[in-house]
Amino acid sequence: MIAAIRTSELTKYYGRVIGVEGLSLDVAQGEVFGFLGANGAGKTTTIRMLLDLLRPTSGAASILGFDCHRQGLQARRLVGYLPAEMPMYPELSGASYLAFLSRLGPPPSRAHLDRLLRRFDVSDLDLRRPMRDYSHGMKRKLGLIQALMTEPRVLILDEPTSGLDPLMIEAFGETIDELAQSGRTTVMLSSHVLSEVERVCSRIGLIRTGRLVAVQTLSELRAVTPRRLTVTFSRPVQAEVPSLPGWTVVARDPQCWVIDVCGPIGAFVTTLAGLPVSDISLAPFALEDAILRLFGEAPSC
Amino acid sequence: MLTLVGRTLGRITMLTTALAGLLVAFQVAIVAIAASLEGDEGFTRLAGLAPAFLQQVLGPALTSFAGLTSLGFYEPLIVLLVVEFAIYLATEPAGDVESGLVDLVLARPLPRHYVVTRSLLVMTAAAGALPGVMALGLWASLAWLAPAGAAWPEPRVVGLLVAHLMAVAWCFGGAGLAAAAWARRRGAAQAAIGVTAVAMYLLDFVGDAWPDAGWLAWLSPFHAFHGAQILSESTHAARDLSVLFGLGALGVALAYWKFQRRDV
Repeated sequence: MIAAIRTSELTKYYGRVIGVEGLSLDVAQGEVFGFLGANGAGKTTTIRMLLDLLRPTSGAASILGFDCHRQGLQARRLVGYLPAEMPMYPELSGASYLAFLSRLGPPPSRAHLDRLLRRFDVSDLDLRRPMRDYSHGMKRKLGLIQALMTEPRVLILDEPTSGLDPLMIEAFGETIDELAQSGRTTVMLSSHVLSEVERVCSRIGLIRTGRLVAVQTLSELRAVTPRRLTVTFSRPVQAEVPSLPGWTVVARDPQCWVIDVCGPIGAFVTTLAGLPVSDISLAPFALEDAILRLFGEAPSC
Repeated sequence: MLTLVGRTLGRITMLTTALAGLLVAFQVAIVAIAASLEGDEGFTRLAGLAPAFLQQVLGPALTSFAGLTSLGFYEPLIVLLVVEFAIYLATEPAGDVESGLVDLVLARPLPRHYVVTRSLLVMTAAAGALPGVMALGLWASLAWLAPAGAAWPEPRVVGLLVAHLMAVAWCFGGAGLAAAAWARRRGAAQAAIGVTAVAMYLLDFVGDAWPDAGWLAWLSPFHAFHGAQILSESTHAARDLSVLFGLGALGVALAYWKFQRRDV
């Protein structure tokens, strides 16, 4: 099957500054892919090369088999895009803005547009107001709607939930879930909000100073990212902490053990039989820890 | 394409209308002044008052009703106003890059050159429409204010003045488009070409006024637009118009070439 998004040794230099270097990546059709990295890591540069707004220094990129530069029109016909900064015509109303973008094609279906307006709680009154009066969140909602309204095969979202309230973030999550379930749309989203990435993405790519550091599914990350296990005893115990591969004892106190664990904990729990355990707590998987580990700033299993 | 052109026209309608109104008001005022000078040897006295260099620049404008009423088409401030407006319109691609609107537009299935073509069409329309509106304003003012028996300007001469004003505006508009294809900020492109236009006007003026520096005038596109010579029909209109449109076309070609290759 053709990859929805493919980059091969994609490189972009801004003079002597590295934008992106040797980035090779495949995003499968129907996948929800999180593209993560610090500010200036090269996320937006990559996205803008996919849209042929930036020309690579070397390498190539394609969308559903269409070269992003040589077959840019065909490629962009399949794409919905939300830029990180939502540009606007301040004098236009929201309705006129959407109508303007609709005329640039491909034309959206009225029913789908209405559904999106309802989902993101944009009223007729909102649509009649000039965009200069819109809040940041309102502009963002309109940005999401314009990206989604053409029912694109590939959706590229740069910081999609920046400025959205929790209800709208939930609405966004539901929308992405629906797209993922349909299997028709591939989503590539760049975000700093890790909880959102964890909520909607099936795989993530980490980019650091222009280079792709890692590409992993969330389940792979879960399997290799240590979680903190705390065992509290009702009275002091002298027993040794069982040694299991990949486990690290962080603190050992007669009444409390703190251990960073990887993988299943069933075997460990059985070793606690007979000990006066008063509480066991296991911290949930945190994408932030996983990312720090991938960046080499935290221990791995 | 029509959508992009319509959007730009929507943004500039008020400004263009205001500018057209100002230019028409100037035509009405100049015809009213000419009407007040007609008779009683007013033009003879006016010519006697004007210093020699002004007579050289304005030529027959100071000596006849037809000459003075044609002044609007080559009066320095009016010419520079029209030229600067053409430059302003032509630099819109740089404004789109600066504001990020180009991301939104070119993320859709549109050829990249549409952004340049849109600004070229709007700039060309404005460069044509403003002198055209001035001509209409002139004829309307003449019909309203010209004294009986006053000799109106020849339509052919007015047509040539309009054509030259269009051409010089288009010439600098082309340069503005080229600058916009390179620039990331509209202000930078606009200032660079706007200041160049004023400098070119002064260069031509100095070259004409100071025989020893006559060669300087040849460096300026304004050398191909001398209203006084057009009034006295002592110019080579086809050559001058070719020069102006040729220079503009060079700017347009550069704009297409560069915008197609640049990072936006």
